[in-house]
Amino acid sequence: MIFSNSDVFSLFLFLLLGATTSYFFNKYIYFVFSKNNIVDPIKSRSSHSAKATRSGGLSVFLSMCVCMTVIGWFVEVQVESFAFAYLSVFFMTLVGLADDFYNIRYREKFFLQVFAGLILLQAGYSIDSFHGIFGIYEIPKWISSILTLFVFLVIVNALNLIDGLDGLASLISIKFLVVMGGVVLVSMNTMFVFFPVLIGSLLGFLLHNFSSIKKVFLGDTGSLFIGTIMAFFVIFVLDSSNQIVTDNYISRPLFCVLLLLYPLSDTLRAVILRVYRKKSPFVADRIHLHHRLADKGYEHWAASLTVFALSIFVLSINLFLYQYIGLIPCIVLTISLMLIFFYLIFK
Amino acid sequence: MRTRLFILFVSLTSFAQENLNDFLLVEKDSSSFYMFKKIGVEIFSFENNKDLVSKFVPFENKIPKSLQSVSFGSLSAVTMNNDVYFLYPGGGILYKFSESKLERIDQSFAHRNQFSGYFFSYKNELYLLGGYGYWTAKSSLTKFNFESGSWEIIPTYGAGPKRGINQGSFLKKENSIMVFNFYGKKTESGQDLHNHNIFELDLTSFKWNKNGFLANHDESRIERSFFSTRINYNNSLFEKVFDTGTFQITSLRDNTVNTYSTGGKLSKLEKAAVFVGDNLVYISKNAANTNNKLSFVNINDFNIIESNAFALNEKYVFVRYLLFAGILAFIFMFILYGYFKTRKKIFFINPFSLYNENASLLLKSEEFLLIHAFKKRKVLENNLVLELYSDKSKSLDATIKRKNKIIQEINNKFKSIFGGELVLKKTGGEDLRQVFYVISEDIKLLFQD
Repeated sequence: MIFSNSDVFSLFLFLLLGATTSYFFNKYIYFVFSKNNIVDPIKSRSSHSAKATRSGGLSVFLSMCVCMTVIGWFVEVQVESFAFAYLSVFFMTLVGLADDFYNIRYREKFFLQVFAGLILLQAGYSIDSFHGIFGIYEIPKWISSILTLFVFLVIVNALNLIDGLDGLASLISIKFLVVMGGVVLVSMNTMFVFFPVLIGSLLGFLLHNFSSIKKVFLGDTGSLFIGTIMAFFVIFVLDSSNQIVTDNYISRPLFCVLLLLYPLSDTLRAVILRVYRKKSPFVADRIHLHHRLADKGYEHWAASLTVFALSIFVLSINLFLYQYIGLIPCIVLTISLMLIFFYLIFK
Repeated sequence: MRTRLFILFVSLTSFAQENLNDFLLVEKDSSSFYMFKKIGVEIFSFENNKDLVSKFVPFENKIPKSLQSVSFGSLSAVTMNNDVYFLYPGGGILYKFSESKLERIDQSFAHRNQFSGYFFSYKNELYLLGGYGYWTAKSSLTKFNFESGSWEIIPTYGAGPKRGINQGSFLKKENSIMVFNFYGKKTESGQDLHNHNIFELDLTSFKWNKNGFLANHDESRIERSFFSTRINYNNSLFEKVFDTGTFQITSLRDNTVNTYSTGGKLSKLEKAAVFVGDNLVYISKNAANTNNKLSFVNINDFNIIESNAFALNEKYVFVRYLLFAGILAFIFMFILYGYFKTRKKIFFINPFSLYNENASLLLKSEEFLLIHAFKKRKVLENNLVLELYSDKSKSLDATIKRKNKIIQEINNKFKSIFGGELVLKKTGGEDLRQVFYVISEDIKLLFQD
């Protein structure tokens, strides 16, 4: 796939296949969960007021499996090189499913996440360079392994933490997958087919997630499933042995941070505030930025769309300006924009 | 006499069918080439571009000892300043052929570190790029130091092929080397990975640049490369896989890969081949007695059967993709915004409250009574509403006032929490004095009692 007219047709076809499959899976699994009374209880922190299930992640995962199997008959999909990565994603999906059903304690979940990160390391991808940040390039193997594991845990948990408003985690994931899809298209295009399918599956899920009556959440299954995929691609980009098209436009670490700007900044802010208030950084509360928007009267869709649009804006402006102003001014610009947005919209 | 004749016959036939098993073809100039053998060199020249004439020159010295046990065909050769340099397989040992003498000129050893690397000359220096050795593919560049007789690693930087260059295609330009269609090796699993990117090594700054990627490439196994013949031809690259009926010529200048049909020729073309002008000189095998024979064909005699683009500019593809994705994202946001702006706001009702996902409004019993009346009817006529609050002990005027107060209160509360009005008072129909009440059009109530 090299983005010719027929590729655009295939792209839409895969997107449509993913969306349709996901829509019907979500509908069916919602019905099964509701029938068996496996619903998300309405608590003081809950964002929903009607019956809702945490079946979205499972539906998206199953849609992916079905679509990739069907597409695999017609299109070459690279599988062998990513066996460990698939294993890690599958493992985390199972952990999420168990968490949705039985509420795993966060310490146990943390160790399971570390294990999934170790599996991912076996895929042969690691953050082996700082790519010039602080003037550092290549780093020793042991630091590389620890850093890779740390980044994996941060990304997986960050996505889990922002899954508090309808559509927010999905829209942020869609933004990530759309841009990362472009990178993969020109650097490892036998993997590209995966992107329209997953984006389509998330779109199919969104129709249910935004529904007021039959509401479906991603749940831990979904956030851990998508979070692991996102973490893998971030590590793929930060592995210096992979040639990435964005090297011509932007620094790799900055690019990854911009792709995950909202989850990372919100998680960092939440952890700092909790520590400042002498609370556990892992305790659940309503201090996230998206909660502020909701509390200000934004409807869920409006809050999610605002965050989605702002993060696209910051990424675009960095991609455009990096070639002219370089790394440090881009970092200053990004922080300034975030502060302006915070005072204008979130505060 | 018969015995003497027999010996003469045998010696004549054996001379006529000299078996070319160990040789190396090296281009001399645009009309002649060398055929190096262990005993000497045969210099071939084209006459009128049709006939080959040759002159054999035996080596004046005995060939170096290290070369005696190595096949000539496994050496890499480069012509520089009318001298020919031979590199030992895997790098390290270097020989020089000059003035009918073949000598070893290095003080090194058999490195065995850069098999299939690219041996080339640039500005009177000899370099070796990439290759495979000791279970890893290399992307290193080494240069021969003529003073010390050893090979030195030349540091390179930039976006180079980090997983090494094994079985690659190379094209030398004026001040750079293009590297493409090669395999890297994953150190963790030992897996050979086809790298479809196109790299350029600038020989003045030793900086790597990535210049797009192959427009058409198959993720074929590395074994295919072992059986392919790749020869530089007229600033292009000739490539043919053994036992296939086609060959390709890759031109960077035209950005094309032209596929030619061999028409049954060149079927047994092996690595021992060289271009002399437009003539491809190679050794063909005689099917009857499997002996080798020197042959040549003019490359212009073959017909192009397919022409494809060589490289794609990945920056162009990426920017095009981003613009496409950006437009789709904008349309998506626009549709989402439009949908939610026109969608009815949903509120849930129970006997105690009216709420949505953001906030809730506590309901008094008489307020719930009013809203509950809308469960079965979309429009409530004034007299129906009055009936809800009628009290025989009170006058009609008091009931009207009570009704109006309840409607006003609930609308005020609703406006302060959610914005907008909940219950609207309307007049219309045939009798303009007729008053009725409806729920605001953009609101949908879901009763949970």
